[in-house]
Parts: sequence; C-alpha cells; structure tokens
Amino acid sequence: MHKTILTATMAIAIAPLAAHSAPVSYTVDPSHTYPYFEIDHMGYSMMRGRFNSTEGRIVLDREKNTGSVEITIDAESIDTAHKKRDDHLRSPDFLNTGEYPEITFKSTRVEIDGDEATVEGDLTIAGVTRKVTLDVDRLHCAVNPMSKKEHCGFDASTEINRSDFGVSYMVPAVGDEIEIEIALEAVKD
Amino acid sequence: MLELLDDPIFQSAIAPFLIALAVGLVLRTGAGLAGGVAFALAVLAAVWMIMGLQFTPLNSTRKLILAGAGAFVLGMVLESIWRHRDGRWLQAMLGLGAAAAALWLVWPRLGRLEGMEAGLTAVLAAAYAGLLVPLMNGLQRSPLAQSAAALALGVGTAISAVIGASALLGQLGGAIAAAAGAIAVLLVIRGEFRLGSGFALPMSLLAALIGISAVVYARLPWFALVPLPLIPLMARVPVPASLGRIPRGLLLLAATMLPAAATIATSWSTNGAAGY
Repeated sequence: MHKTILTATMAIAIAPLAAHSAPVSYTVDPSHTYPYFEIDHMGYSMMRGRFNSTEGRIVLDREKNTGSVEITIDAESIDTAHKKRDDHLRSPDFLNTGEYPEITFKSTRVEIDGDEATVEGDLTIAGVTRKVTLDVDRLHCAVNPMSKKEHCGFDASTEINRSDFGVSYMVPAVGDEIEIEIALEAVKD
Repeated sequence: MLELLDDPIFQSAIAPFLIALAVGLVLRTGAGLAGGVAFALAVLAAVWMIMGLQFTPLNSTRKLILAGAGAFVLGMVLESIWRHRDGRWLQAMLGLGAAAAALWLVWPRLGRLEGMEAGLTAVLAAAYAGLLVPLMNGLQRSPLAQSAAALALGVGTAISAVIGASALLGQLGGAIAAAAGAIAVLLVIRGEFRLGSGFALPMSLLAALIGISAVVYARLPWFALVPLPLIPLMARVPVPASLGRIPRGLLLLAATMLPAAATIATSWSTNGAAGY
C-alpha cells in the first residue's frame, strides 16, 4: 500500500516533466512572421524592407535548452513599398529570384537561456551558403486565447555582408552591411 | 582615382571604349584578329569592374559571360583555320550553338514554369539567339556595316535591359556598344579591315543572351526583343560606295538604330522610365 502510494505520487510528480521532456515542434505562422532588413542607401538614409512570405518549422527542447529552426523565405515576396525597386531587387543585379526563388536558414546549433537564445546556422541567399548567428530574444510560448493552441514566438536579429553571398552589385554605393530582424511566431503541431 | 572604377559610366562605356580603341590601334589588322581581341579585352575589363571575375555559383549572368568567352575562342579558331567563315553550313551550326547556349542560360527558370509557358520560353530564347548570331556573323564582308550593327545592337540591348529592371545587364550591354563604337572609330582611322568571327560571335552571342536574361530573369517583355534581329538586315541597306567611310558609317548606323529605337520604345511603353 505504502509502496503503491509512493509510486503514484512519483508518477504525478514526474508527469509535468515528462510532458516537457520531448522536443516540441511548431509550424511557422506566415501571417505573423516577417523578416525585415535595413541597408544604407548611398549614405542618404537607411532603406528598410521586408519579405511578405515565410514558412518553416521550429523545434524546442526546453529540458535540454536546445532545438532547431528551419525557415524558408520566398525571395520574390520582397517588399520595399516601391514596385520598380522591388523589381530591381528581384533581378540578376541583386537576389536573382528568377533563378534562386528562396532564401533559407537551417540551424546547426541552438542554445536557449530563459527567454533568449543563440541560434547558429546556414543562411543561403542567391545560391551561396554562409554561417550566421541569430541573436534571439523575447522567446515566449503560451496558449493563444483565441486559437486555444500553444504558440511560440521570438525576435531574432543578425547582421550580414551581402557581398559574402555574392550579392555585391553597387557596393559600396549601396551598403554592404545588412541588418536583419525576424519577427517569428509558430503554432504547436 | 579608384572611385572611378566604381562609376557605372566609366565601367560600361568609357573604359571599354578606350581599351578597345587602344588595343585596336596597337594590333595588326590582318587575319581578322584585331577586332576580336580588341572587343574581348574591352568587354573583359568591363565585366571585371562591373561584377568581378568569380564564377561560382554559376548563375545566369556568369553563364552568359562564359558563353561569350567560349564564342570568342571559337571565333578565333574559325579565323585561324576555316576558310568559308560565313558559309551556310557554318551559319546553321553557329545558330544551333547559340540556341543551345540560350537554353543553358534559361534552364533554371524553365524548371519552375508550367508546361506551355516553359515550352514557349525555351523556343523564344533559342530562336532569338539562333537567329541573331548567324545574321550578325554574316555581315563579315562589310566591316563598317558589322560595326554599325554591333553598336546599334549594344545600345538597344543595354537601354531596354535597364528599362527592364536590370542595371547590371544594361551595363554589360553598354560595354558591348562601347567596344563596338571604338571598333567603328578604328575602321575610320585605319581603313576598313575584316573584323572576323572573333568579333562577331562573342559580340552577337553576348547581346542575345543579355536580352534573353532581361526577359527571363528581369522584367523586360519578350516582344521588346522582336525588332533587334532586324538590325543585321538593316545593315545590308545599300549605301553608295562613292561616299567616304564616315558618311557611309553614319548612314549604316542610322539604318541599324531604327530597330534598336523600336525596341527601346517598346520597352518604355511597357515598363515606363527606368530608375526610381
């Protein structure tokens, strides 16, 4: 009897941990996920834009404080609020979306520390892959009161030199350094 | 001084013009080699300044540069060993080769298009290059006409590419026009000398592939390219032989610029002004 109560108590105590011990997968919510970028325009101003279409998957393992991130950005969805500029950015001069329709990021290492994380991975732009590190903050997971499903979200940022990816047209007149920020939300599978 | 190397006008007009002119003045004009070497070195310098000489990953723009380099080598070989350089059999083979280069260029795009659209893109690209290259190569008996046609083809291709949302392709087309312009000046200074396949093949193939790239990978409508194959036909307009080289050259240039102007006007009417 005593042994049965002890076993049941331990099972109840372990249950919440067991529920979080397995990695949990989330599908990126395209309507709440936007990669933004900013770049120096000939020294006059910082030009900003975003990509309107992103999909992917994140996996979080809260017990081991690790996980994975895979994102695919539709390069044709680039949007700087000016059609001619957007057409130019899609052309062979820059992203060459006719040949390379997607920008991808695949993590190789994730370290979670509370609501922050460091995500190392391979970023591929215009057919060139380079290692980058995303600094993640505001990592937050909770049940969405409207959908009743668990959502996770975070903000990630990094900085790249576009010439590292072979996108070097008009450097240095148009900046080489690009600040990237990704606002990402995902829904538990 | 180094800032000059970043100036688009210097990269795609001034530098290739001066290099082609300098090389053409130095080289002997016999055996049809001077035109090709002057053109090749001028365009190579422009390519280096505009986009560098890296070839990985092998994207469409790098493919067209490689195809142009291959056409130059083939042209120089033809100049060295082949007697009937504008014979019909050779012209047909050159057309097939140009068509194959065009398909190689657009292949990545074809895989992402639906059946009919992919087929039409492939046929138009192959037909455009397959027609333009032999027609331009066939002007070898009249160097002045060939250089005027090359200049017009370069101008029409460059400006329409810029209007079609690619300044890079426009700069490459501009380099062709600038080098061809320098060769036209050489013909006036040194007298008419055979330009050869070493000039005609890379010049025409590069122009064809730049135009195709502007359609397939940028925003130039395909019908904007339709007038350009008329340029080598307009270059055959009879011009009185009694006229001097300069008046003959100007008349030929005026005739060949008509299709180029039509291409530019068509691009403009569809896409509007370049720039933003």
